[in-house]
Amino acid sequence: MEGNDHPLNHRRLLRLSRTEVATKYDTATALSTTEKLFKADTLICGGVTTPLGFNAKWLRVDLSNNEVKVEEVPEEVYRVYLGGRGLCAYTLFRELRPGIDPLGPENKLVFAVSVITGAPVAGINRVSVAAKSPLTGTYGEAEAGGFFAVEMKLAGFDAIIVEGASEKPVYLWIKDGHAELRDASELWGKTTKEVAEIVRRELGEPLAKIACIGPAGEKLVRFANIVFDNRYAAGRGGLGAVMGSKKLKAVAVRRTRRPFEFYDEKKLAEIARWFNENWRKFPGAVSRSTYGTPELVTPLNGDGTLPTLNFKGGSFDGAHLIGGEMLNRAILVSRDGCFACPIRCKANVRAKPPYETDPAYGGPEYETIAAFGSLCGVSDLNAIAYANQICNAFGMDTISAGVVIAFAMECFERGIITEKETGNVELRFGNADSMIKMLLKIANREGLGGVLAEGVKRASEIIGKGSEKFAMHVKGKEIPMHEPRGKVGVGLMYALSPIGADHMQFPRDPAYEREREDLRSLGIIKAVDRLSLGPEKVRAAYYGMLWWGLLDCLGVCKFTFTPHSAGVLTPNHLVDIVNATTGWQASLWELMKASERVLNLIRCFNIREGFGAKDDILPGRFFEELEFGPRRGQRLDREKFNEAVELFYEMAGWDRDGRPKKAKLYELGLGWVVNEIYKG
Amino acid sequence: MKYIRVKAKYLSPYIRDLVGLSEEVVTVEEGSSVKDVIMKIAEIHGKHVLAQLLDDSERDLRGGVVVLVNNTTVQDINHKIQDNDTLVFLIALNGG
Repeated sequence: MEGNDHPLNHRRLLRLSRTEVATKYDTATALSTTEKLFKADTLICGGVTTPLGFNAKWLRVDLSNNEVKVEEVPEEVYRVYLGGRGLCAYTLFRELRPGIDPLGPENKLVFAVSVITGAPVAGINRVSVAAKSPLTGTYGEAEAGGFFAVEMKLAGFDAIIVEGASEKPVYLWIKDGHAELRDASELWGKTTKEVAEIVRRELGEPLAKIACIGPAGEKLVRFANIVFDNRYAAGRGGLGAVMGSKKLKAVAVRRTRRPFEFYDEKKLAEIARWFNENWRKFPGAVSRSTYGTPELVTPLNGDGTLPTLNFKGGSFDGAHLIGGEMLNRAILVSRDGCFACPIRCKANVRAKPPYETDPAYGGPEYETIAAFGSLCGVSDLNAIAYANQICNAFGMDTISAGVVIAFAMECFERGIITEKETGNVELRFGNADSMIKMLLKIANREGLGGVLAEGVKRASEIIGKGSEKFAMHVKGKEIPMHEPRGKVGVGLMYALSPIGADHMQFPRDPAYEREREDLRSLGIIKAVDRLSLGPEKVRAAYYGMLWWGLLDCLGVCKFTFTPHSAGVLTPNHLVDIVNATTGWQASLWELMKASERVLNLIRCFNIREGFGAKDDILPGRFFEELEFGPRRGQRLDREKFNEAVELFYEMAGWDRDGRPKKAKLYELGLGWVVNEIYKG
Repeated sequence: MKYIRVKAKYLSPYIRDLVGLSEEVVTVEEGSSVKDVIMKIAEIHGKHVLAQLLDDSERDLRGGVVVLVNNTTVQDINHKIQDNDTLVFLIALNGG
């Protein structure tokens, strides 16, 4: 059945009863009336399976009262917010009072998947996790790939809302629509791999998927993350610390029922088959499959945009020792991937002594290699892989950890801190051993590590002595490994990201340098120079932000869709997938509008918390010249940058303080938000 | 017949794998285009190079592939090149 002939559409449009659906559309005359009604039920509103593509059920977990309850959610919420980021923003804006302590019981932690999660197509496998961020004080969100999202959805819930705080450590166990809180006293203090092993053994569920925190989350390291199955991470913004503050050590999910029956499985199978048969024709995808994200290290170095020595320069002499080719040659054990994806861009590595690693913890991505490598001046790939393992085991964001250590190294070399503060660690650029020692001190909050565990903004405020100048962050979140002085749109992204400095908010400048059909489908017709900060760049940035925001609302990997260089699927494929999954007749326009709605909702969350144009800024270093590398001397022009930010506000329908105008909110169906940010 | 020489640099590991080196000097006829250089590279290193750099119609680069001529991104593979130009071949640097 296709299009309007499907019972779902008829029931929606004509308001047919289940009996009418059963008699009108089930032509199998051999079926009894009861059987026809059962079939109609499974078609209409879900029985064991649902054709809608989602459960319409959320789990609310009250840790203060040790209670779990199931809430039914109307389809309209999904149509308006789609899932993932959208459901998180919708929940947190409605349920969090402004000004709460992110590490207090009033904060809430949301795990959410989307209407298309579990569709058997590459890349549709990410879970969003969100809370008010203890690192930034803004809305905080991160996504993780792997298998957890699909397992969670098939276990019966599209979202899990965790509220309150437990008196003693607990973990949440969900299986086939049932949930319970279990004692986690024995898990407290354990690393992420230990937690996953113990929980699976205790439950007798070797295939359960585990999200958990390590000791860093327990110790409230402000950039602690949530680790999924040892190697995938909801990395940024300190969501692991929120989980730790609630004494929630882990969430385990398992389903035994068969997968969803989506609306048009033939169409989904057709898209999946096309992907599997054609992805090898896309060099970017093959390259990603061969080297993973570490493929970027040496090209960015050649381009002069590899962040080096705390962003002083853009090239690193040891780049060839830490790039994708070296990783494959020296420490790669096997490649790994996510649900339904043949690309398998992840690495499992075994580094060599004295930094030997366990392949179960995966391997370092590009961001991690640059953060612990070029940014800290370290060219020992084994040490970088070991740092990656420490972060995955203790549950810390590798970007923030690398940036905060690079900051401390610069402070040490400038004499702002000495061996007295570092505990006799000679914290110089290039000293791998010192980097590892300091990383462990952060994870355990020992000495200076306890200061750095506060994140680079707070650490610089504590250290003082002018160190603020070397603290690379936006809104308190450490800068990722992309250099805005060679890709100026990246600067806009860092400043305007609703979750602090983040590299996954819109495609980076090189994506717009070639005119491409998939860009045209997003309304970007002409190529845009990577060093331009003119209106055409701002426009591309805005549309790009809506596009990548949409991918977060749908829980989709940004690598599998154009205009990412590894992308194979197009925006129009995504529309087909949404409709084939849900039975909706959505358009790209409708979906982009949903993304815009969610972006504005998050913006309003931050406005309500006191953030505005004054916070949409970059560290001063980016307005100074790159000190070395092929782009030596390049810098951002502050005046042009400020003009671009203002133009972005105007394009987005925001006022000069970056606040969404009332008309924009009404246009997006967010009239209910107006009174929250226009008081008095 | 006059010939020109251009420097071809292979910036991405994947493209270095395809051709087996990181840079070389390529000699082509005067008046040649970027596409002609790619054809020449494929002639030297094998047809698999062509299949990975050009799309099936051979009228455009494959998605994700970028060619810079003297540091400027090429929009049209029929762009004419000059003696001593430097061509950089890479996978677009937009994602980690």
